[in-house]
Amino acid sequence: MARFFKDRFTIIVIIFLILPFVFPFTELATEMLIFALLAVAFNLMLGYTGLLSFCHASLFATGAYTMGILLVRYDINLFLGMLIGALMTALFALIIGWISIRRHGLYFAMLTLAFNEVLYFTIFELKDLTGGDDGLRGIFRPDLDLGFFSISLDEPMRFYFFVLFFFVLCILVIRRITNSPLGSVFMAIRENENRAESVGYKARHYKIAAFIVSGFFAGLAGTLFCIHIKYAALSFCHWTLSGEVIIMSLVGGIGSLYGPMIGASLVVLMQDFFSTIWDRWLLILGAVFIIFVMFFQGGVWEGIENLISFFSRKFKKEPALE
Amino acid sequence: MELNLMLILSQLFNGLVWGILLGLLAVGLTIIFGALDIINFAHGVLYMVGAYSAYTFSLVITQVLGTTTGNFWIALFFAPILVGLLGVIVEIFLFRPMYDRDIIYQFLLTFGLALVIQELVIIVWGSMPMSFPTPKILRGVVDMGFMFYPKYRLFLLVLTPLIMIAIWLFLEKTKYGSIIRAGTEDKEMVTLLGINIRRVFTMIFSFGAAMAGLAGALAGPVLGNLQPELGNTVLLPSFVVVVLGGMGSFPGAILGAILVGLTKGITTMIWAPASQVVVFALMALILIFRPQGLLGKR
Repeated sequence: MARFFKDRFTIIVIIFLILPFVFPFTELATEMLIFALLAVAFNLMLGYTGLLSFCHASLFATGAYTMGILLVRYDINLFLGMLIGALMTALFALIIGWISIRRHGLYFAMLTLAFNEVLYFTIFELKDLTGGDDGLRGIFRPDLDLGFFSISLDEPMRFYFFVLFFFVLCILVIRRITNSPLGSVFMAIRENENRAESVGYKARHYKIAAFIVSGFFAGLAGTLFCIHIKYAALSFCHWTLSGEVIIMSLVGGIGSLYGPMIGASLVVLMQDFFSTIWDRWLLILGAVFIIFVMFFQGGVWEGIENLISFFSRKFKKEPALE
Repeated sequence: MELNLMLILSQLFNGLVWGILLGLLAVGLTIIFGALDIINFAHGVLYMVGAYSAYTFSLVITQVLGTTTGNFWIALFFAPILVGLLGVIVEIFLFRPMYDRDIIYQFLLTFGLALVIQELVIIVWGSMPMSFPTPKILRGVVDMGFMFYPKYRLFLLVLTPLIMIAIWLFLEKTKYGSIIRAGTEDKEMVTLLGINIRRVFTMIFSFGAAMAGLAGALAGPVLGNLQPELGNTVLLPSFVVVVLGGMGSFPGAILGAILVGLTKGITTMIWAPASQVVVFALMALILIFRPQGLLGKR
């Protein structure tokens, strides 16, 4: 039991379970969860594999548009739509990844950015399918159909727990991956690609794997967001969203699995809080981001970790003194 | 047929005008990349600051001198200087402490900076579109024999190459130019020769910023309207130009600018919806098959 509570993720889940009851804006909380998932998916690449991707907006958008189109045109089953959306995104990530990982560092980032833009303008021009500049309208939130009974998800609180369920599931899967030998290879590539190669790992294959896994979960976040706001907008694919995801991850801390969750939650909260009092809240976001890049590269999570280890050391020492 | 040819030519010319403006931006980007290893995401907003401040300068000058003649030219002179000074401040206070960090963080820093400057521009100038007048002498169109074309755009097609040549002469023939080039080639060697590399970096960054400012000021009359989305619209295309020519290569930036301009002009003619996709697909292709760019060195 103690081990159960020592697990940081348990604490985070408990916070998220209580959150909608103390927090007046359930829909905002849902948005926090979705972007937290997106940021964690992104961080599989930057934090774990050391790949700075600038195409996560396009991955998010692929998931959202796939879900939206399937719903509008084919009235698809909820779970099936989410699955197809995530798989489509994984496939798209495979294509981008297969090509992009031929380059390193900034060239890699630029290449992913180029693909992001190709998709952006493709969505923009395929007006019949995607609605172009106006976005995809007519999306609805399908009922949660479990075979023997079905529940409407239109009630915000229900939808929140629906999203939370998938969030926890995804994070557990992602954590399983990062703790597995596969995750270790990812980190080996981040630390020193040549060395990982010389030990016998095909870095290319593992980088593509990182891309696919990251794409799958980013796409899933996209499908959830699509039914959350019942709309798919061209701005999902705008490169500034890729940048925002980077901001979220860095503010939270790219060194751990949980940092990006905190970062995404904070950024979404800040966005909501400041945008109601000041139109130019992006100025604050930009300034906060610059401060983090310059002075707190470990992000908020590292600060929390330091605090916890500081106090737990104190906590442990006292009995020893008796 | 005559009409078609005219349409084709004017599209090509439009593409070229767009291209050479991007070229000015790309020159700054590529020099900054060559020396500082930074892909400057704030370059687009510096261009925007150039355009907006040129607008304000010409308003102020009109009020001070009581005449509208010549105000554009004075603004054209002062706007790049202002943006260059902004570049000095940014380089000293933001980039200098970051050079020993991972490249990714410098890259992210420019991203945050772009957000901040973008919002500052909206705070200073507002988010409503503002119309940027064309200088009096260059209003109207020219009869080129085979078509009519706006005077100001033709003027840009003449002036910008001259500016490029001036920059090239500055880089190749002057002492400061050779220090800048040395900075992009081999930083350690420059330091060994007893030159303060930090100051060189500041110089390079503010030079690049000033070029962006100049491009913005020159683009004002072509755009007609100034609006805060300006920075975003040119940023990624100027990346394409830099990548195409080769990151860090000055002649590459010019070649890239012409290519991008022509590509856009031609695809707009053939099938307009594809023009943006084609430009970025071109960038992806170059990065895949020739990452050092057309004229870049490995």
